[in-house]
Amino acid sequence: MSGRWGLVSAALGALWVGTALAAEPLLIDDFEAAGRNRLGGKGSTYTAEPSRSLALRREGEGRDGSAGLLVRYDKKNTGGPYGQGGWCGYYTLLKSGRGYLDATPYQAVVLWVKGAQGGENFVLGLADKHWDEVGDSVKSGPIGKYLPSGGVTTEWQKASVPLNEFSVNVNELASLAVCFEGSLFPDGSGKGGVYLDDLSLE
Amino acid sequence: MRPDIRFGLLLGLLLLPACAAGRRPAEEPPVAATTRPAAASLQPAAGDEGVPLAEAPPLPAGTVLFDSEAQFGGRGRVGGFASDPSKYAVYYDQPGHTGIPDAVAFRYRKVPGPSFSGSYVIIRGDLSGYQTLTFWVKGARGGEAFELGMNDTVSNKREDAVFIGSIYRYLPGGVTQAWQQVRVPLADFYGPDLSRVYTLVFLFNEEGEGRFWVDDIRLHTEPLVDREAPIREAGELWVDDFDHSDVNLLGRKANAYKRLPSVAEFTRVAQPRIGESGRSLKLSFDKRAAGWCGYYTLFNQIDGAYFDMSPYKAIAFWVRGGKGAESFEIGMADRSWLTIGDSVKAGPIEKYLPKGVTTRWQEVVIPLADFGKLEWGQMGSFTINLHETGRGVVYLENLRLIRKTDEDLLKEWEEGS
Repeated sequence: MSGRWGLVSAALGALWVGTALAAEPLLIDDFEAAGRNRLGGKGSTYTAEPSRSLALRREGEGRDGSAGLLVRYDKKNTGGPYGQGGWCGYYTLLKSGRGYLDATPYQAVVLWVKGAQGGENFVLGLADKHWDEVGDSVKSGPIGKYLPSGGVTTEWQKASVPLNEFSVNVNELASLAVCFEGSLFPDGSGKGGVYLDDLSLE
Repeated sequence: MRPDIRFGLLLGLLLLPACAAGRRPAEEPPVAATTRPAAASLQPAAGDEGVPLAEAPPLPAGTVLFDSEAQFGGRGRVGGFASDPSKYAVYYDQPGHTGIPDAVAFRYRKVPGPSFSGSYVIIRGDLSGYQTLTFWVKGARGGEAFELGMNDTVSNKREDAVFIGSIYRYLPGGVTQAWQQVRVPLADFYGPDLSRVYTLVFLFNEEGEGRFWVDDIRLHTEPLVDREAPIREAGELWVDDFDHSDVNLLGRKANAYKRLPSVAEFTRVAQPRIGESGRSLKLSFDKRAAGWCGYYTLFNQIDGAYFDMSPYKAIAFWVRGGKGAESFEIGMADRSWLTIGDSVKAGPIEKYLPKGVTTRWQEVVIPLADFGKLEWGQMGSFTINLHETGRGVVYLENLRLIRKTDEDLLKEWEEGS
């Protein structure tokens, strides 16, 4: 009996410690305000022609009827750098000023997503100081892996992408990106639109 | 146009304690056309009040200083420069905005003509680790004007500060009798070595006299100015209002250009103008059969980054002539055209003003598509090219770029598919 109580006590203790150490979620962007994100960083599209992307803050099209972000993408599979069709996506800066974001108190990147038609696809890219300096990021798996339904639909779903999937220095984060990689689409090209909201670290 | 800065005139240096511190042309401009939106402020993180100037890192070891700079140029000391009959005075006096009696008082008299005056606060520090410089300012009467500049330890020796524009660029309502905080992104000081900053310069470029105080100079590691938000809000970017500085509102150079025997020169004049205060650009020209002349304003930093004009769809300004019927071409240059010293013309002004230039203000709105295929992400300059032989004067006001709306962007997206 005493052994059992010991286990229960240890479990409760671990739960208490875990609760005590859990950081409040850090809101990166709820897209309610035009301009910079909630950390003061810039958010914008990135492209290499002939691929294209367009990001628009849309009033009334967010998760709870407020504002959300619509990202349209048109990933090509020919032309551009190395004949691969270029690239496209959306990024938001986590670093502020000359300082990088220390995300060690957090476990996951969380965002809400829905598709304009359903079936859209993307990966998240996370850059630490090193990847920031080379202008690239470490990618997650396809977003469907982190969604309850297994894929993007026309309904809002919460995606939670563990930080430990990125193999970056989480104490020096520079940027987070939504990347429409050619490998996500059957012939390397894809076109569509996704809505994003309430991007945060939890 | 601007006098050299004479830092040899150190007589005013006071050895005081360091401070802690889709439109149609309209006939007359509506009031809205005279209102420039303010830059938005970003809220600093809780507890981020920045550091006072006194706590900024010193100059890197090995920084070369003249003996006078090393001996008398202590951080927080103040001084000035002037040529007769313009004058300056600078000293510490009354309580600052926090109540501590450490505000720097500036007095100036700038008379018409080539004489000059200005003052400075010695920084003598490494500011490369900071994003934003802030200070508080108030005037004795309100409306006091000055340009902000900076010298690093090299430019100070050749008396050649870099100026980033009038205080009105940072306080669109200007200096008032109440304390106001001024937020200056340090990136605006393009050119000086921010690791070797010697002085913060206040140049009294506008004729008149005045007295104002500066207090609590601080440095912040965070950006505290959001220039995108007001552009999105207003739907336009103000390139120049010609009110207070020869530097445009992007902090870039603007000037007349000429090749003899054709000549052009510009001044900023109080009349005629749009609005109750400020100035317009007066461009006087004598275009001969040979040579060329005109006016340009830069979007890019010289030897620096080019300007991304892809979020914009049109350029707009107001114009009137000295006599009427003056003609000019409107040009734009991207990186390539700037390199060869020319621009692509949208056409003569008559294309956009059916009645031509008259002696009344008219607004001109030119779709950027009229300039043809330019590299919009790498833009360099806007030009007024005086292409017709003859003498004359034209006045310009309120040069702006009109931003694409969401509907424009969506239409562009569909057309691009």
